[in-house]
Amino acid sequence: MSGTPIEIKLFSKKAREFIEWLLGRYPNKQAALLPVLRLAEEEFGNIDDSSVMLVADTLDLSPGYVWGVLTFYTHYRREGDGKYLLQVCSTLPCALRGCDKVQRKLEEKLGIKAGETTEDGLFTLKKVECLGSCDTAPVVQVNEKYHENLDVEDLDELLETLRG
Amino acid sequence: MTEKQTVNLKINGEEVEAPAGEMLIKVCHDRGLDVPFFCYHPGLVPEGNCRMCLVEVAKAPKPMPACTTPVADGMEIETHSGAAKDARADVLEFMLANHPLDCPICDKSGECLLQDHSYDHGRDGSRMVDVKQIKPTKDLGNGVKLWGNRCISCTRCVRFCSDIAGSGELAMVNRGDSSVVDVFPGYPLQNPLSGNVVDICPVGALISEDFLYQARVWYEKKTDSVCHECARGCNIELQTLNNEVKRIVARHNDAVNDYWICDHGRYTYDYILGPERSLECRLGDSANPANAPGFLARKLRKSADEHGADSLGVVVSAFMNNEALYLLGSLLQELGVPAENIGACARTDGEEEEFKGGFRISADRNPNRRGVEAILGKNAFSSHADDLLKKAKASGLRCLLLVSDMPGQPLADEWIEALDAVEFGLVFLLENDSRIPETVHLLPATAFSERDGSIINEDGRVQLLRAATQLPRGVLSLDELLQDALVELGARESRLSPRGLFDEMAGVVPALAEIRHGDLGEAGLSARGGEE
Amino acid sequence: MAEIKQEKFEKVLTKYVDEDGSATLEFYRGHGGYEAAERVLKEMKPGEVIEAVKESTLRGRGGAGFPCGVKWSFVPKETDKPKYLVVNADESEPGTFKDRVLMERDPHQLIEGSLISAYAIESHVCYIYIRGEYYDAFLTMQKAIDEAYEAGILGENVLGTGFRLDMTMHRGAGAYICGEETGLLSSLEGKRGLPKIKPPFPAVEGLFGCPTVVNNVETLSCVTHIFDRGVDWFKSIGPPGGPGPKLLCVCGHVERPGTYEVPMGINLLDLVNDYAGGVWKKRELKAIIPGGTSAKILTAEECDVNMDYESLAAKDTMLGSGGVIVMDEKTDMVNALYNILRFYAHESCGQCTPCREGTGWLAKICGRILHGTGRMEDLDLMIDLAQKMCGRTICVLADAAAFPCESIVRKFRLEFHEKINAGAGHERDIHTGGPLVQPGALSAHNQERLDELQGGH
Repeated sequence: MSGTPIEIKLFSKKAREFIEWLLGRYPNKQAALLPVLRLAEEEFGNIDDSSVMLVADTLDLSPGYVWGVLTFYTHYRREGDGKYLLQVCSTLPCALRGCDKVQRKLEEKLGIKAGETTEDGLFTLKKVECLGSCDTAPVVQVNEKYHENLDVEDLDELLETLRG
Repeated sequence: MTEKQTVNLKINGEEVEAPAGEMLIKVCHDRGLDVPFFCYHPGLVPEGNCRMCLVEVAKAPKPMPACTTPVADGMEIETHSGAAKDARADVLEFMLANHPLDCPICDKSGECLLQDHSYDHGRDGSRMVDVKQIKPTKDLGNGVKLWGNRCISCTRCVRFCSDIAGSGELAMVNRGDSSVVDVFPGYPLQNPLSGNVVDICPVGALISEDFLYQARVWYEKKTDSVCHECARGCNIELQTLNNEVKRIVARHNDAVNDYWICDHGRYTYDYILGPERSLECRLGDSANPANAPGFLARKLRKSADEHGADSLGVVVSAFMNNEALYLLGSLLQELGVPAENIGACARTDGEEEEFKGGFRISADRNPNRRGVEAILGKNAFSSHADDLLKKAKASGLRCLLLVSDMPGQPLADEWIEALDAVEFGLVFLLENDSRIPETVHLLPATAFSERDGSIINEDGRVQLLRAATQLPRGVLSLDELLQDALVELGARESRLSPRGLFDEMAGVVPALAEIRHGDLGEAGLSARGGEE
Repeated sequence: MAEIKQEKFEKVLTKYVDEDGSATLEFYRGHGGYEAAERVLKEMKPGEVIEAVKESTLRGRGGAGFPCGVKWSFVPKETDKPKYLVVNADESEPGTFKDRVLMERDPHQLIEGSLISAYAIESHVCYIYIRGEYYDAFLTMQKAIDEAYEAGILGENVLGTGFRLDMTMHRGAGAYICGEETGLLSSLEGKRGLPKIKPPFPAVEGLFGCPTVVNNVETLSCVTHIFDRGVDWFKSIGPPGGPGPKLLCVCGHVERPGTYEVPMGINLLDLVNDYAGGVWKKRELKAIIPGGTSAKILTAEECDVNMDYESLAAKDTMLGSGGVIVMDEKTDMVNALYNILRFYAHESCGQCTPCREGTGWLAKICGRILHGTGRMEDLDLMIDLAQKMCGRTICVLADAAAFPCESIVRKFRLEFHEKINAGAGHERDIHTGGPLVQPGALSAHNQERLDELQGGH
């Protein structure tokens, strides 16, 4: 049991209006769970414990239920994820075209291993499965954007651009 | 066109008629066929995820899970063909791949489905040499502990919490072979039925802190009884070792509690041999309980002779079993004491709770109010008790017998005061009570686990208790004591067995007419005038 | 060799994908878009539409290859439950990326096909379940849907015909199993994406317990053209029993990976050599997986085969999702298999015992072989476990893991032997961490104990 009280969060007015519209598209509240989780992700930057409670409350679901659903899916931003989520595709077609090298180079440049976040909170490196861009392998998805045909040489430029 | 009520199918070559829409597994089980399972539970919606109940179905491309396959006309099934047996053995091999060899330290040992099925249906040896998955060991709340490594993802506990308790604290988290049951941080298991998840966990993943390392189940004695914590009368099984209650688990009864009991009933038994248990015998000069029947008979007879039968009063409790109530009534009848002089006291009401799956906890916290009403009349709790108290205050009572056997609820102050006003006072006492004057006689009351008898629940169902623990030294069974007292008074030849006693009682009490002890079985029977 | 002529195939599905503005309604209408749908809605009855699709013998392009019209015909006509059309845009089969092209560059083609399909099964609610990672495609589709609503192509009065259809985009969140039709439905219902027990089948009892048809993006895009150009046209392309234009995704060790629209039945080697530029870096072909990683692998010698359902099935593999993964001579097959098995272990939903435990177990065994601590018996163990996973589970993810495992170990057994032998002498005993001994002999620890005990003699 956590000793720290969970902060209470509320959706913005705009978000609530969207949720109203969303609930009209499904015959029950539970069906809107995945889209509402996305909404929380957009609104608050990631889905942490307080977001889970907010979503549960909004849709009349138990927090345990929402937690079980959330942990099933791997594409939601979670607490602790850095500003840029570097998702390196590692399935066979990308592996055949050198995604290992890309991953190792990124690990080297950022000083972290896959699954970790840089100290400054800027980058999280994740190894993910097939992104559906096999013809432009190697591919790294940075937050929502695909960076395709990534060679090891392109990485410096990518990181520079992201760093701003 | 009306829908067909039954279908005809073949099971292991035999023609079978089964209710339309019923699941194969139930049809097989009803015929005594051993179709093993893990995730299936008759009290929960089937999920078919463990794959242990796979049976061979003719013309189907692959084996079908019996728990989610409804019977259909013309179906042909083999439950013990080579293919079916292979399927089971293979499923077991997969299930054991990551399961830790915890049997020597696991509470579930001896009542574990995984052990049983491995023995009956599995293959010898393991081919797994790789590192097994590691999952957390943690507290889930309400005294339920999780050994995540042992979890087989059957989701029985998840289904229970969401469908029966309605609170949904438990969920499967993660995916694949990292799946395990868990709670959301900060939202532990909290519902009043939480202990049931330990009952239904097929393996030792969910463990009760109350029972942790207390006893090996194969050494325990198991006795059917009825919970005494409210008027539902949920069916329970008392598990004892060395005459101590180690655990209470639910017993199946479709008419009362399905497969469940509440946590309060489950965990309330420490008082039975607790430090507050009163074992004192104070019978005038004697402290010998063997003298009790004679003492009681003589004293009551003397009081009745000297001061008139109307000067005797008795207060029973709604915790007592029917036979004790009946015998006490007979005893007083024998002495000519009017029926109005028998009052009854009850535990104060609690909160009524109803759960999503239909399970209920009654506001009435008395297991046998209906028994008192049936045997001593509805007014026992109200006018009889009030008038008796007035009589005592007005010094109209010479002799007062009180039964104080309700755990956690001592007698009301008024009754203690009333004891001061009488010549002969005797209390059947369960838990020590320093208020009782030294001059008052004492006999130890029995706990419910020590009783053979019957009680009537709030629906009017008559159910049997069976003695699970022996009486502590110096404690007499109230039923036997009263029968012996009646023998002393010449009103009875000898003691009867519990069965004989019940049948005699049923012959006299209108609500129990037409019921014989032999009819009651494990599930009880509705009394005449019962709501069922 | 194929009977199909090797002339340049006139693209239909991907005709406009390289043109600017191809995703807009204006462009689509300007090229005759939605005329077919309007004709269907105004001139045909729903039952007739189903019959037409049945006649076309269009087979599902998601991976299962089930006859589309037949699936539609399973939807009960008499029911007071709402009927749902669900578009499976979850495209997560490794090696597959065709639906993404269709959605990003020609979204209205999909919308029109969905419209016709919804009309056929008398559904008024359509959900498009798109994998979470396809964000651009999601935005494009959403924009196209908004355009359609504005133009009266979706909503209360579709194309002025009185037909009502609502379409909603629904994003997934990173789960391959949500591409499985009932896993998708579970996810749409706001649950963990766990496949459901079949029967009952979705056409009878699917989304929210109501009759539901789930179709792949490419399949529905084909529907558009079946009604634009005619059933006969569709049947004229490729072999009978599984005709039509097909998007094949070529990736891996080729010069020009990409999505190629070809006639059903094109020869696999022709596809690789004539369209995708052949094996890269002038290397030799070693193996091809023809239908996404769930399909059994073909050695180079086996690759002279037509890309259609029947021909590939005859070679004990499948067309599947049409993801053609090409591997050159330098490919480490043990590594390739490990990669595949790790994928399935990661994606298994965890519901049923054989898949949950089996996928992880297979991945671990293969990993051990790859890293030098494999044993000879591990090969037969893998094949045996793979076989035991098949046909025992709620969905076919277990089979999808078993197929590559069994086929790669069997067809490239020598490579596995080499890896195991190369590790010999260097690999460690899993239990003691010490040097590995031959099975049957005592481990180093026990040998010591025995020596101690016998030392006294």
